[in-house]
Amino acid sequence: MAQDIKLNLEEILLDISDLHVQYNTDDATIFALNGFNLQVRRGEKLGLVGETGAGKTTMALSVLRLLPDKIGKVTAGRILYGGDDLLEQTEAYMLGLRGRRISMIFQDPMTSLNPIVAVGDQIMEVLDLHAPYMSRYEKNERVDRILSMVGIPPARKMEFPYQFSGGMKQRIVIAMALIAEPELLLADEPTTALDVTMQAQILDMMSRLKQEFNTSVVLITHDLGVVAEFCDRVAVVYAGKVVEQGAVEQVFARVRNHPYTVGLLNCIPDLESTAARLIPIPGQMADPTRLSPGCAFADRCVHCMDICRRKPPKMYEQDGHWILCHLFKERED
Amino acid sequence: MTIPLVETVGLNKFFKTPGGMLHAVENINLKIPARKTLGVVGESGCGKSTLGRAILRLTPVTSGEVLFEGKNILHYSRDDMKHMYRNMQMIFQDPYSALDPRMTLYNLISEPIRELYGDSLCQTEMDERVHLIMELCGLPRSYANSYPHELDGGRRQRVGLARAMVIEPKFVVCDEPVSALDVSVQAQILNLLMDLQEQRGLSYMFITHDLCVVRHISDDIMVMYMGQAVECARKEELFRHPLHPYTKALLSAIPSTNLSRRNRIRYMPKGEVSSPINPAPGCRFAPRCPYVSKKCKAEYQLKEVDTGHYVACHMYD
Repeated sequence: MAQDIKLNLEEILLDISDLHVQYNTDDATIFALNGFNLQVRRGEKLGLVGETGAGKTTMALSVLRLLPDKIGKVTAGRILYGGDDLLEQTEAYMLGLRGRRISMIFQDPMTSLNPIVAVGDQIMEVLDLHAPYMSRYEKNERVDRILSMVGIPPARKMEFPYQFSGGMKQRIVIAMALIAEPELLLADEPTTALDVTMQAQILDMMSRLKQEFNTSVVLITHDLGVVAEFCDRVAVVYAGKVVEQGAVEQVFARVRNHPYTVGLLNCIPDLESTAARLIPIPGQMADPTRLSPGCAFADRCVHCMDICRRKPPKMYEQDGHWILCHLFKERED
Repeated sequence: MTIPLVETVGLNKFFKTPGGMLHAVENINLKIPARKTLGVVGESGCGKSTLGRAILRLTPVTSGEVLFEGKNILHYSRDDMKHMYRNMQMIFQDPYSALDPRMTLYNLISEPIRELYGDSLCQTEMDERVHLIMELCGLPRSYANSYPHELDGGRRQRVGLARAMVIEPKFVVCDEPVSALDVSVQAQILNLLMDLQEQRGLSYMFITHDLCVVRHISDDIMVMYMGQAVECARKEELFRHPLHPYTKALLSAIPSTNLSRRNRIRYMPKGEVSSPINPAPGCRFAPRCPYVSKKCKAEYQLKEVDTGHYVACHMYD
């Protein structure tokens, strides 16, 4: 076991440590990420779950350095990617990285595609930018290949976005994200707008493509079911912090979880339960303009203790499954 | 045999498009008894929202009948319909766009009473009604003078609910009321809907694409595919014995947090949804169905194969 962990440590592709991001608006300062820690290993599928406003998208935008200008600011922390700290790189370096080594899929495929450019040309744009040395013929070949991989007949590449269904548009966006064969794919709610059968198809397809290119995938979602079925590992985010992280088997075994994770699992209606009522998490999402000195979840937590409001919890870890909660104490041995 | 609260007979809704007739809702026959919930599931674009709107006459119907307490409401005049809307209401998916941003919560919630009952209520009565429903829907009274933009998504949806409930309807069409909400808020709203149903004896038509939600809230479930009803049954029956190949595909695709379900057999429909414009006769699912036969492309018929279990598939002839 110890050997496994060591091996995995060597394979970390993206290492975010103690990242703090805030948005300065006219009205208030919003603390979006507050000591965010996340490791993504090469070739793994990591699910990032949490509610609206938890900071999931902010994390992705920080990695790509696409935070809104002048408003969004990284105030502390490090984002190591393949050994380089992305926060210290030049804009030229980032241009070479975005779309080439790290790709992002945005939630709404309708708004990510240009309505007046044929889809084939939009996909080719990525190659024009990142592989200018390729011949026209070669680029065309690549576009055809990726389109058939995502299940779209290459013959339709001259068509425009409005001629495709929602699921097909999302697959075109995925094709665009993968054509440069990136090492890391940040997928922000890629299936939220789709139906279950289409969602299953897209996730299957992403898994196959992942196999082919050995791409690491960070799947940002609020759907725990999707994470349980698609991902290898899962990180649960609350108020700008990862509060629990572990292998899917560890987290969904429901043996030891952060109270917030328990709350999330309890409030979704599942397929077997016959309970008449759902159990919502009490209270409201923590106010992002005010930071609590202790645990941000304390006000909503059923296990809240005195210490929770005073001191931030330490990390409790067991076999790579870690939880930020005062309920669990590090074993002495 | 009691008369169902809401019933449709051969309801059709077609849209004229430059390419031909778009069959949004085709030959739908449904019954919703009093105090019960009918869940309508299907993928986006299958016509489930149009069906809900057609039943409430928010969109003109092409042909067929909509019966409310046994009476066909499609012939009702504008004034008669206004009277009908005291009994039937709708909750919309997007709480952000369903509320007038310039109105206070008090005005938003009292608007339906003013619209449908005129000035027949005095100010004190009105205040009472509004405050009571706000309380029921979990909105603190101090919010009465707030505007929608001051509220979060869950509270806005509570306002949408309060607007529908304030006139004490018998029947409410809920069009994806929780799809835009976070799971913890979704749980609160679902609980609230079920409490209101119990207290007020409401009937719901609950439109959603989330099968876990529909299983939780419904008594009966109708599965739609491209404007047609493919299967309709009690929810336990439908989840235990799905018959139609599309229903099977749908149910097997539901992602679950239960790790033991990870390796289940999944049925995947092949290909893409075909165009709903001038569709071929017969079962709409036929082009994607693994069990397709000649008959499927000729004839569509929803038949009762077991008590209360209807399916439109020739495998069960």
